Amino acid sequence: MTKKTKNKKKYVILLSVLVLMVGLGSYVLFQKNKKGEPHMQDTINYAPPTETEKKETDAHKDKVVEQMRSEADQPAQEPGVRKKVTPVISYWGQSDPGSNLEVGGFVQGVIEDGGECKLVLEKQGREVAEMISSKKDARSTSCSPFVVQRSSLDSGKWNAKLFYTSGTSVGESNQVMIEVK
Amino acid sequence: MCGNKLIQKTIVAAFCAVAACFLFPNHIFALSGSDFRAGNIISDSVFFNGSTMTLGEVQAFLNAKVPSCDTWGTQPSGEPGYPTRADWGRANGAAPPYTCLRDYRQNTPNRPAEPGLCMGYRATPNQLASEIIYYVAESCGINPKALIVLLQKEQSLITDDWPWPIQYRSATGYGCPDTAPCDAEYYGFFNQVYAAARQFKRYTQGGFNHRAGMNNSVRYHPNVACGSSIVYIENQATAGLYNYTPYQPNKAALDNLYGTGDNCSSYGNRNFWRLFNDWFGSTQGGYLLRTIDNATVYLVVNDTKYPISDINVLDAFSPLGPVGYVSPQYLASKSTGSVLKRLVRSEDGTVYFVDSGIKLPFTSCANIEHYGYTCGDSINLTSSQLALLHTGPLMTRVYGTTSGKKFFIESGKKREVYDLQSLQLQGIGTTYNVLKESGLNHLTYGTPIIRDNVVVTTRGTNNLALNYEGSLRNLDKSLYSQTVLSSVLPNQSLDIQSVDKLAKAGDFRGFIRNVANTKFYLLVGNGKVELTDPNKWTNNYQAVSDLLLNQFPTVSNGINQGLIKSPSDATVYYVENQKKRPIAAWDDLLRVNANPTISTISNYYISALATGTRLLGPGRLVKSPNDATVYIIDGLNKKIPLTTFSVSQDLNLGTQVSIVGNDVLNAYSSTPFYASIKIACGGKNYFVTRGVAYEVSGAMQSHYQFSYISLDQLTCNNLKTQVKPIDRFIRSSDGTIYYIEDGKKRAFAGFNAYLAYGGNGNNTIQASDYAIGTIPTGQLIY
Repeated sequence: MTKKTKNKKKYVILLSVLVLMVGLGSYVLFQKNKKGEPHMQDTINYAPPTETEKKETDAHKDKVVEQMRSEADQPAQEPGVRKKVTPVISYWGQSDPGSNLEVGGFVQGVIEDGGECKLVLEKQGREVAEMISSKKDARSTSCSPFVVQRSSLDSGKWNAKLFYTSGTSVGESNQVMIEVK
Repeated sequence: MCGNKLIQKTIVAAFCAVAACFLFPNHIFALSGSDFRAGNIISDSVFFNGSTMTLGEVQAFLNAKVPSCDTWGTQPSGEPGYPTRADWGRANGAAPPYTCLRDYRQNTPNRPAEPGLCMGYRATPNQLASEIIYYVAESCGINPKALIVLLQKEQSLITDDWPWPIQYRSATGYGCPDTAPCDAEYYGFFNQVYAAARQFKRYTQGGFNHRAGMNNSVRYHPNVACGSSIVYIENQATAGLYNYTPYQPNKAALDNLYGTGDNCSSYGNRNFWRLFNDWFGSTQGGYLLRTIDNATVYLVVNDTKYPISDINVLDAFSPLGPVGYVSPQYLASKSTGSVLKRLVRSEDGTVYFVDSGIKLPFTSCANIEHYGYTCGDSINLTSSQLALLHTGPLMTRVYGTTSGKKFFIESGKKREVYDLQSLQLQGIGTTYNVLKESGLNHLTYGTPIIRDNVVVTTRGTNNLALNYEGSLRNLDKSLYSQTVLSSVLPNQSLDIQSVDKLAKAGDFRGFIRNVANTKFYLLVGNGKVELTDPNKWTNNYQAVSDLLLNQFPTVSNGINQGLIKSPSDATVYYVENQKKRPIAAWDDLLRVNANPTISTISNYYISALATGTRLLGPGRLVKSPNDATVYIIDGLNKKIPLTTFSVSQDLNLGTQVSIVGNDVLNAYSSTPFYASIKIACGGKNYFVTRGVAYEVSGAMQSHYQFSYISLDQLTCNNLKTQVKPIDRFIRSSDGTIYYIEDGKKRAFAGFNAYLAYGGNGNNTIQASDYAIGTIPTGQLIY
């Protein structure tokens, strides 16, 4: 047998193994990604961190330094001066046309209970207001939910604003347009 | 040579690529930002399942993500002027040693159980981070994988190989507003993990910043100027993530999923989604939820859970699954709705019937009521839930099943449909959808829709019936399968409950007649045979309409010979007097009919005819085993005692006697006379001797005035004698010639006398001595 023939045989064997592996691999992946089948959470990726994850970890360390410096540089709040905060109206809607209007919002920059959340709805000069107390959330202050009686609103587009006032903070949201059905 | 190397390299490269497919399957199909769904970052069933990892798996995962902890910060810091991490850490108040999360330990405090939130926590000294993650997840019913991802997206603690104390202090970012220092009340690793998990459960009770099942205005960035978009938040877990971190990734952040976007990009929820996918697979489960301890599965729609009490209903809604496990507290936070039926409603008010993952719109509430529901029975699904159900055609009143049945749905009942022709005859449309029969399990059976002159098979029992003039008549299976009925009449199956609803009218008899009572038939394989002697078979014929009769072609058949057999048995029967009489031997058969046609007919008829006594061939000599009397079988029902074989020999019946059972022989009635050579057949008298039947006719009758025994024609047929005319001269075996006169024999004294009386060779017969002996003797003739 010549060396050329031996090499040829080797390639044939290698190719066969390759074809088999491709087939098996395709089958496994097909089973895994079969259309319509929900992905099951049966995998845990124990691989070491990727380069992206390492870079993000390094970048986070920079943010930590930044945060530490920011906290150190934070001026003490002056007595009697309330911090300006940013209320946000985050959702609104009715479960059915004709049902009560529900509005939710929160206040960034402060975490506190007992603040005054005031929702003001305005339509063609007419105003309807609702007030609730704020409550602490994980990283903000929640002003939710406002439930406005449908009987106090007529159908159509209303302008809404959320006002927040507490012993430490004050602010008002951007105006949003809410359609009442 | 170069070519060989190229091939070799190609193969090795391909081999490596395939191997990579096996080793890193999650990375081959890289996650794309376009897969991110702002309204459904993670399913409730995934997020609120607190038992997806074992403690060992949590620890193994933490170990894997920090293969080597830089405890003393010896690695280069990358910061100008600070050669090592330790140098940079010291400069920022974080001197070594550094404790990686995999090795982190702390004393944990007690926490009381809070219904609906967490089941509390038992203080334990020196607890590992993995234990804290595992037990908090278990206590609060939050997926430990979600907690791991939270720790990474907030502080990179999972992969950090030299974490600083401040990262543990605010491990989950709990109590850290966007633009203000963190709240010291929540400092510490355990506090952070527990508070975050508890808060995610608290969100399920409502009253926070984002609301599942509604349109929410979700911002892109803390900077208000970056704007927001309306996001329909599909589930509580996603609403919770937005409560915790109220920003969605903008296009730039999603376009560069593993990098950074622009100034308006935020990464918290994007990274949560990306990390979860990369580390643990899909974030998507379903809306069908249960707890580990309680097998009841609920469909959760916004704040309401609808219990599913029927496995078929669960199957119908399967695209909203798979069934996921959540904590009891999570389910308890949902109000309980009515038991889930198959009706759902979209926002535009369309009510759908759900089966096999398909939603089929109803056209009116009236149609819904026919299906046994009211419009009010439908539940609202979210648009995304509805979208998971394929849209099918309009619901029709006719409901086909995958098992081949069809039902017409009317007034809360399901009326099984025999066939589409039956529907057409009732003026009902024939359009229908094919769905699972279980979709009609709640309906009771109504009267089926069926036309006349069709055969019904009852499912389960396989009983057959003919629907004739509005009533079912039981149909013998062999009569059906072995006659023209099976080739001419349609046969469809109905459920037994449907059959029970139909009127019954006894049995369908295979002996049928026309309504005018003038023609009588049996059914055979290719049609109906008109009977020439119907009373031979039965006196109970069933009247059948011409409409049905005409469906069976009239065929000629030898059946009127009365010789029949079944398809499954070789026994041949002779039919007479509404009985079938088995014929044991071919010779017996030929004695009944010399040119027999044996008709094979349905077992039904064989069974319907009573069995008579075995038929013995007419003319046979028989005796019982325990009686010496020999009989000649006469016709079909009589036996003639035989006193001497001389008679049977003269009659050409031989001397061979068959022994038959008493039961058979006793069934034949014995004649009051003995066998004789003077017989009457077909109205003619014969003097039979030596196998020749001499017909006594005309002028001879006055001379042969004997007592003749009348034989059955079948017996006569079997005598096998020659027939000749008789004169008045009879010769005995000793040569004596007799002259018959007035019933007596007179011997000639001499030949001249014989000649004088006109005797000659042509008019003189040779008779047996026995035969001559039966004639009284008169005077000599001289």
